[in-house]
Amino acid sequence: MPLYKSPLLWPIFLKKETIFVLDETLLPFEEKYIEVRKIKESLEVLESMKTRAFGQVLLFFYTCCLEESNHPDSNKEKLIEKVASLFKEKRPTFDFLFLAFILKEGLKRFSSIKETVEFFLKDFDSKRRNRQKKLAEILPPEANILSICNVNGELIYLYEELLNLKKKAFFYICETRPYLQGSRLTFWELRRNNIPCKLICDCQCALLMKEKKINCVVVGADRSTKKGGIINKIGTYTLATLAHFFDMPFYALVQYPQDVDVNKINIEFRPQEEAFMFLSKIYDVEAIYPAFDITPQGLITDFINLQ
Amino acid sequence: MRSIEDLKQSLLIWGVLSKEGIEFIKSKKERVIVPEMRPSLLGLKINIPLLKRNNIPFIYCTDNTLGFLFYKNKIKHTLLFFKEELSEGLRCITGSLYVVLLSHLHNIDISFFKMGYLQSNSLTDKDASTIDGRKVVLNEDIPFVEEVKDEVIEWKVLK
Repeated sequence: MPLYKSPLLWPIFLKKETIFVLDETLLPFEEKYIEVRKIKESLEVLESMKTRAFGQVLLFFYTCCLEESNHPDSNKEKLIEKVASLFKEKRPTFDFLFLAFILKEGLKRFSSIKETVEFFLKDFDSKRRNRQKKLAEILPPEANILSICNVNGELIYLYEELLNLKKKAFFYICETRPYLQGSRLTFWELRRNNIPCKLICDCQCALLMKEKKINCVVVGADRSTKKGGIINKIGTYTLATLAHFFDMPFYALVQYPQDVDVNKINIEFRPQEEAFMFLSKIYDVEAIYPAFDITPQGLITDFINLQ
Repeated sequence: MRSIEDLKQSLLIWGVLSKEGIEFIKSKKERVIVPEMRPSLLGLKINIPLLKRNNIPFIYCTDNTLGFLFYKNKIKHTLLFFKEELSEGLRCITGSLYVVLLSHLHNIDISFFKMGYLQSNSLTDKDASTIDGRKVVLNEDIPFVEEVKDEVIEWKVLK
């Protein structure tokens, strides 16, 4: 039985014909769920970054379930492909086509999308916990861990697994501009569980590495490839580069690596106004905001797989 | 801008622009990349108005975008503005080591300039707990936010 909890571990759920989506943009000040009943609403939630990471996976699966329920006579494979294509238009870097492949494969065993989704998600949480168990085993006895963005509550599992192994842990969390997922999500979920941590500005990490306050880096991955490179939240590549320079291990939490060249994956550019997220106003200046960056294999010490 | 390929190689500035630095940039006739420079948003609050006043073209980004710009070979030269010269190195604002190491690790030359005037009591954000005066963590969590301090970049790192 887990000791620690975060709503981000399972930020979206399906109840009858409604998807409930935790609005991550309101955290940490408000825990509010958005009700989604149509694909148009799913796409709005996705585009406006109300959810991301594992939330995108759940939103995709549950939207396919809704569509199946709303169009019972439609061809299920075509329905899945349509949802994947619409989702990919909104968030081009994330691999919705692979999620569609999983569902279509599942339809060879199950008679409905809903059953396939239920089967796929049944063991997902235990897989995440096992992944953190594997990572905890290789981290040092006093792990001072730097992380970026948010891995949907998995750092809480990591902390528990480190404690189980009688290891000590302390987390430094990069604020992760511009959406501040580090400040608003990860730091918040660690603090509410009284897990030892500190929040830092993104640009403070080099000094902390130099001062040896950090001795390893753990990040998630939105995409991973069989050749070893990952795509993750903008800023990940910098952490990997600096960790390499300071000779400290850099671990990537990956799921379902694909046989693609990491440099050929389309990096999503968000609207320039989003570079000013959470500021008092949108400044009238030209800005650039790539949502992700590329970390090549050579900078990654090890991949901690979900399988 | 919808793709990184649309961005031409540019100069990167870190620290508060000085008159000497502005003259240097003007002589290069290049576009400048202006990072946000957390926590105090010095890029946005101080450098951008100075660049506008001097008709220097620029593009703004968050600090964590810099690595990707180096990776994609979009930085031509780095200009570091320091606070004070010490026997062991240069005393600079937070994040300077981040920028110096990224520059070195991507073989990009760095030029050093004395920083422009900074009236620090006019800045509202002192650490990661606020941004542009807006609180982003719960009150009870503020003690767990890392203090921001100047960084001394040793001469051996600067060479």
